[in-house]
Amino acid sequence: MSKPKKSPKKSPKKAEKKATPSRTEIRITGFGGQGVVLSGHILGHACAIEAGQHSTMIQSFGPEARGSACSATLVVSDSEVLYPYIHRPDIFVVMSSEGYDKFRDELKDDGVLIYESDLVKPTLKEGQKAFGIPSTRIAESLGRAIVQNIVMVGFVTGITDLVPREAMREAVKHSVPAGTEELNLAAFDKGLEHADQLLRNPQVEVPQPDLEEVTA
Amino acid sequence: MPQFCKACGRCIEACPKGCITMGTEIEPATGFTPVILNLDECTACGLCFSACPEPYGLQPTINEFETELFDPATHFGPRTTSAPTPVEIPDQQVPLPELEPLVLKGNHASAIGALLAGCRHFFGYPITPSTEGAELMAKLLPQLDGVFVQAVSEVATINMMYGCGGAGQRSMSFTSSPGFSLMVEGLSYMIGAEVPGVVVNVMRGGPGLGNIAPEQSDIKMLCRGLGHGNTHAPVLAPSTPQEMLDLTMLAFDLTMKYRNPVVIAADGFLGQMTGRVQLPKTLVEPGIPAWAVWGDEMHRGNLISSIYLNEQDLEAHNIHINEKYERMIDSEQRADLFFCDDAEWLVVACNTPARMAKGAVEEMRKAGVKAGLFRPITLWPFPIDLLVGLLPNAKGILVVEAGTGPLEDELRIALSYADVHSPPPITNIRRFGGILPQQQEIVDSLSSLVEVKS
Repeated sequence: MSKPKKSPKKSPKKAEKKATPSRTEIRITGFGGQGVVLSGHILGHACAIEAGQHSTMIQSFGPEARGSACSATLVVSDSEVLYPYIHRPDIFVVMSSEGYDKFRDELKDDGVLIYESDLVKPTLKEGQKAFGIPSTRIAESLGRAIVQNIVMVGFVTGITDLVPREAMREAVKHSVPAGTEELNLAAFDKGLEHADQLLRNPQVEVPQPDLEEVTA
Repeated sequence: MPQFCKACGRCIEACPKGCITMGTEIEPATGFTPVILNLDECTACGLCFSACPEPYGLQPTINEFETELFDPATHFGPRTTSAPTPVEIPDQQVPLPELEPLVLKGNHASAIGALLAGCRHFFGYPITPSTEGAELMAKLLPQLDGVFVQAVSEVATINMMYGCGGAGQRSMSFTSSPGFSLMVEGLSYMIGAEVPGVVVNVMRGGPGLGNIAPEQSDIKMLCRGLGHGNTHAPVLAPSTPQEMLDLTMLAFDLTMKYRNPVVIAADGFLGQMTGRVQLPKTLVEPGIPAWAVWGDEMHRGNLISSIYLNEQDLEAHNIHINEKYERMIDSEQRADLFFCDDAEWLVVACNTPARMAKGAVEEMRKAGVKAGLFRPITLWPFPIDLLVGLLPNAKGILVVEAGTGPLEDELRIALSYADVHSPPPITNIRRFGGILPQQQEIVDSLSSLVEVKS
């Protein structure tokens, strides 16, 4: 199981336990300061604690974590994660075009791209799927642009179904600063909602990027 | 002297004991009246020498002084104090409630381990990739009645730890390779004075400024070159965030038990890696050891020092330190053995490369090859006793390092001292500069070894 599940009905926890060890590689990238590392932390927390899987995260820790193309990489598995580097992510979450340019070639041929649709204009290979969300605008509509990353976390949860939604909600609640839970959960729900809409009606909501722009 | 004295009288004013008076007789050579010295009261303070403006005027006459350093006890009898004999205030183990696991990065896990082990004093200087540990300590220690000091440099850091350890307190620092280099002088003092302290060295690429990527660059320095003189310290090598916490707690145990600094050798990847961490069942509430220079009446007789000017004393001190090292070698060897029982192909690796090696060993086992991972947890003392038992089965040893070979050196030194003169062939995979060995590289290397043999 190297590909994330698309069906939101199945419980990933039970279904995967039986199968051979799964390994899902995720890269999240954006500007340093956009909440890239926290997003990764929340996903990892949800997998490792709330959903009983194993996960490890590595993040940028050089100067890029303070402003340039920052990234967090996450490996989720139902057995111990031994090799913590990622090569070809199954899921690539992009919040800035600089980050996209830096890491775009890594995405698996059948990988899933999730992007901030106002900031990133992706080009895809055949077989890759892309889902965009104007997460910054949605966050601004909630009053605080800073929760953009949580909107994105909600969206990722809805699109990939990597971990049960409740697990992810718990992880968000645990990981954000005290006193901001309500705002962050609202942002999370907005992201989820957008994912559901998009999955129900992909053509209408966000046009899939033009496959003719594929670079060889 | 009288022929050089111009009777200026400066020495008369300078002498606090009134030993010097103005002369009355005229010196025929000069026509002056030179001063008269009466040395009965002289304490050899030397103030008159500095006061005298004449180049050949008042000078110390060295031959007449006893310059040999002597033990004050020979003149004044044994040191006496009215202070009571110090009594050890033992550490308390306080049970922790069962907590759900946390998701922590390695540096944070280590800092929390230190707090749970009773460390309340942190001295440090920020350096990537270790800074998050210090950052968390800065946040938490003030709330725990502790001390956090960002020193001016790593040299200051380690000497602050020397002082703190001398008071019998648990202190620590986070640093990375270039910072650790600066600390080794102080570490030698701490080892000499038998002062506890824990340094977490989150190793990065070297030499020089190198880079901030993970490399096991300091293993040689940690195991063989911990400052000048007869110096060793237990070196613990974690390989998961959980071990960052567990081994930090163990490090504080060992440092207090042996009164010797302990070093944690993590790598940059491990410091930054976030994973699940389960907190322990108990935490330590620190006591005060009897030897501490604690600053109260009871501890007044204690002395922390690494100076032994008398040759016999220093030799005896080194014999005592060597005995301590022997005890560490006998009882502190630790290693993690993974599929080692019947292993014909032993992979030796620690820190992050051990994770790749573990994956490779699993892969080889699935392919029917009897591979095993021998992961030293203590790099010094090297867990040779555990390894020697595995050698009869072994057809080959593969050392996997993110470094230029210091782990293999440790292995070979240990084998030599264990009188294993014809070990199985040792090969290696070495990546450095911040590149980690890949699982596939290890699998390929093992496969080719197996092929050649069969």
